[in-house]
Amino acid sequence: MKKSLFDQGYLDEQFCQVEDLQDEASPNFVEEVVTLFFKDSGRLMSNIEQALEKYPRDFNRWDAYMQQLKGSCCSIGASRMKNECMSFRDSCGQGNVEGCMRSFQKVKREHAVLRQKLESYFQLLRQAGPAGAATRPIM
Amino acid sequence: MMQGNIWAILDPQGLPESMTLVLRFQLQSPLTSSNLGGSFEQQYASPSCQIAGLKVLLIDDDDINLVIARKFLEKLGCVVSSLPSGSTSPNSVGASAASCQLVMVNLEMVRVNAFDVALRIRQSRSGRWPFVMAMTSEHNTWEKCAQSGINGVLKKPVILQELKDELVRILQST
Repeated sequence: MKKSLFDQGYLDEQFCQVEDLQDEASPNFVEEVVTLFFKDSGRLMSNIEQALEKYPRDFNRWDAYMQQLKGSCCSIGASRMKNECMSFRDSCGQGNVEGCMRSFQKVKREHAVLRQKLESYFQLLRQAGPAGAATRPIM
Repeated sequence: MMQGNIWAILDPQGLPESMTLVLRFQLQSPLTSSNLGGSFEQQYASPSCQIAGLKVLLIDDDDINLVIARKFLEKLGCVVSSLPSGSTSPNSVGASAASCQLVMVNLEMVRVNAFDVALRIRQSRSGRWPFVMAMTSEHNTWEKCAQSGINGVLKKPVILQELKDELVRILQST
């Protein structure tokens, strides 16, 4: 399942970097980071949503929020979501309100899809148990 | 007995130009060689020894980045602390930075100007420590970083090997 997450571009190599950090001292590191990511990004996204409404055409503000979100996506390797964040920032740069709105919807969608996929992924890992870890030797 | 090594580098005239003593200690100080100037390859002190035990201060407003960067550094054997978010007043930064050897700062923080922070650290610095390393997703920031007294730059997202290489480079460039 992990392979398909990479093949379909949901995750990139950075996710592997995070996985490599997991060890006996922190055996649930990846799941903890992912949980933190969804909590943080959920908050950031609702900030953006409010800003889109409360501060029309405030591209600087919108962009600043999105830069934060993009940074988090980047750090955990959430590739598709990161790309949509970048589109949003491009639209901000162009002063394109329509473009921003469209991109933001895509960001929200990718966020939801990724959450779902990662939840399934961790569930599979739990069922497989420590012996069933697929490609990575240390889990 | 002390598992150490001592040698002198001779200049072309055959006179000792610098001497180095390397001792292996267990926990605290990562750097035990004293350079008296001159530049030479530290072939005997392994880079990992230099990094292990390094006291690092992380300054970032992104929780995810903080967690991941901390783990990377701890993997390399560093001792990591971070500023509570919002406390980047000159006094608190200066005080926290003074007790560590490396400060890692995210250039893209929202409410905090990382270059200001770096400048403050450089101004309140006495001696060699701390070094400042910036993390950024922008290109071409080297000049601006250097002007603010930043010693090294890491591209985001941070990768373990690049972090290690940049740390080694900074630590070896006196």
